[in-house]
Amino acid sequence: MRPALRPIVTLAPLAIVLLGLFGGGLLLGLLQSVGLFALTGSDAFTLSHYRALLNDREFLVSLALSVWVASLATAVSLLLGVTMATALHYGSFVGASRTRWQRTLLQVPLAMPHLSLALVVLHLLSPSGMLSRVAYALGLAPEPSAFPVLVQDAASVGILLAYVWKEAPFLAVVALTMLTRVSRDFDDAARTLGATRWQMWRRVHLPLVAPGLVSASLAVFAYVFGAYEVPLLLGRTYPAMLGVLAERRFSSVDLIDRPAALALALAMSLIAAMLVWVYLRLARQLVGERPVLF
Amino acid sequence: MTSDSASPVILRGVSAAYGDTPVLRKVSLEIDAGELVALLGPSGCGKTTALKVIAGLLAPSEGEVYFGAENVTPLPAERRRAPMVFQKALLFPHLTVAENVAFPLDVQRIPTHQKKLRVAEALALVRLGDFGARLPRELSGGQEQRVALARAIVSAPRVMLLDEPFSALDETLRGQLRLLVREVQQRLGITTVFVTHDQREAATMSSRIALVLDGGIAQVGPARDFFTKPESLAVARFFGWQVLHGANGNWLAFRAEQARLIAPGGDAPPEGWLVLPAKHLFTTDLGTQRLARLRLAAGDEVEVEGPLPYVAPDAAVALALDPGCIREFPADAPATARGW
Repeated sequence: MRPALRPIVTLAPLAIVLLGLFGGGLLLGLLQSVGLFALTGSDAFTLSHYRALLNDREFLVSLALSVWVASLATAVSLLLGVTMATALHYGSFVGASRTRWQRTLLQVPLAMPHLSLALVVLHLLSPSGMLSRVAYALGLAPEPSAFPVLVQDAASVGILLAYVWKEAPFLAVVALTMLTRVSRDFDDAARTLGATRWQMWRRVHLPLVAPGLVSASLAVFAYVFGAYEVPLLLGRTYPAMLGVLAERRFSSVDLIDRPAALALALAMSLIAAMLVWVYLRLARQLVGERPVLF
Repeated sequence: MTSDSASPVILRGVSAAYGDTPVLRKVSLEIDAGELVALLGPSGCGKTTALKVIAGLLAPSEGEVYFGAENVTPLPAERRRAPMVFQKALLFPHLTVAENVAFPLDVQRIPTHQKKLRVAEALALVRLGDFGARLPRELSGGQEQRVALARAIVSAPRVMLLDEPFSALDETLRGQLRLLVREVQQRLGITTVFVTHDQREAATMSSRIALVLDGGIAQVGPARDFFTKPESLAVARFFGWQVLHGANGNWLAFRAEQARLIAPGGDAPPEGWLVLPAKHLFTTDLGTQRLARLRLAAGDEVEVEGPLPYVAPDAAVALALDPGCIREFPADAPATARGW
């Protein structure tokens, strides 16, 4: 077999399944969203479902909420993740054994499904949850229901907490792996050239790990933006995040609503792609190097 | 970049260890301001450790390091102004050549216009004036080390520390870079400590050599001293002196190039020379010279170097030595580095 053909042939079985199922579904969704192959029998091309989204207040509010939650969850996770990785990295200067258990602890949330974490958050923070009962038992709250509402709340605290809990360790592990790959000799060189620990971090370590972190945080952003199960459990009914709204409309008993629901889902994907593009542009300006895309 | 800031370097009874393993044992050494001293020694002798102690990257377990009159022992590396150039250039891969060279000035917050001038000056000194915009990955190994040198000199250091910076380069390039480092060091008058395991490199670059053996300084002096009057048997051995047992049990050391091989039927040596019967083992052709290995009656094996005549293997020959070129060491002198 010619070397150039080898990767194509090797990947073909996977590519056929992916393109057939995913690409086929996407194409069918796209066609139905513009009025073709509709289940109701209507077969006239129209962009009316997309135009309608521009005046759909529920969609616009959901969009704003999704951007807000995804941005904040990514930013906080990035900040916490990088801080944890830095602490562990510099901690291991003192002795690797001291940080081994912290590193192990960091990996625990990675192994937990998002759904499980959402249930844990619900169990901890709901008005009848563990924290409210502890607060009541300690006399910090006059009654359990007086505990602040932190799930299914207006500020989406529960959703943010679940994602930060899950994604901050993920980004910390990514940052730590990349930091470990930066030779310690660079530290010695930088120190003898007059750099303090902070300057070393700011001018040597951060720029070297930043491209990888941009890629990883991009994945976090895109995931949270289109998330479904965590916002369903921990978010409010209105406004719901886009993933929940899309699913709700798609599951409508009235098949006439199906093209509009598909238009919403595809618009969501398009907006996510645009946001990723903006994120990459901004990141490249900050980092100065093309981030590694997954 | 001026020479005004160059400091003498003084080590007083410095010991250092990695964990429980002692590496340096009570090292004392004085280096004058503007001098280039080579720390020479075999692998694992402690020479790089000594350099790290001077740089502040490793705290001594005892003793002090002075830059001039200032005791810098408690100062962290970043406050010593003693940049180190390593075996690998360690250029920061995300910065251009000019940004790498500007790094020490950036961390000192030197104004931009002044910074640009000094970076350009440093790059011109290492003959890389046009390379400022390149990234490290676009440079050859020799160019990388020249940038590392520029980065070390740009901030007018008190001391410059070079840790075998050319060891990864080919011989031609090494020769060129030795000359460049010597030229830059002399022009700027920077006190420089240069670590190497290569005698030739140490001899050609430095005004004095400090030979480090087994964690201590075995001898300090100009290169010539090591080839004419080694102070111990271990020093003599490291510098390639040939060693044999004398008639009185003492060790006799001589330079291979100062001895003569007397072939069967060959000319007798001058009057008064020490003549020892030997068996010729083999001869290696070095191009302009030959190197013959002989086994003496007492079992010692030695080498003789020069324009030697052809001698068949296993032939009975004689080794002739000028008594004026022989160094004698007591019979109980340690033959290896430990306990020099």
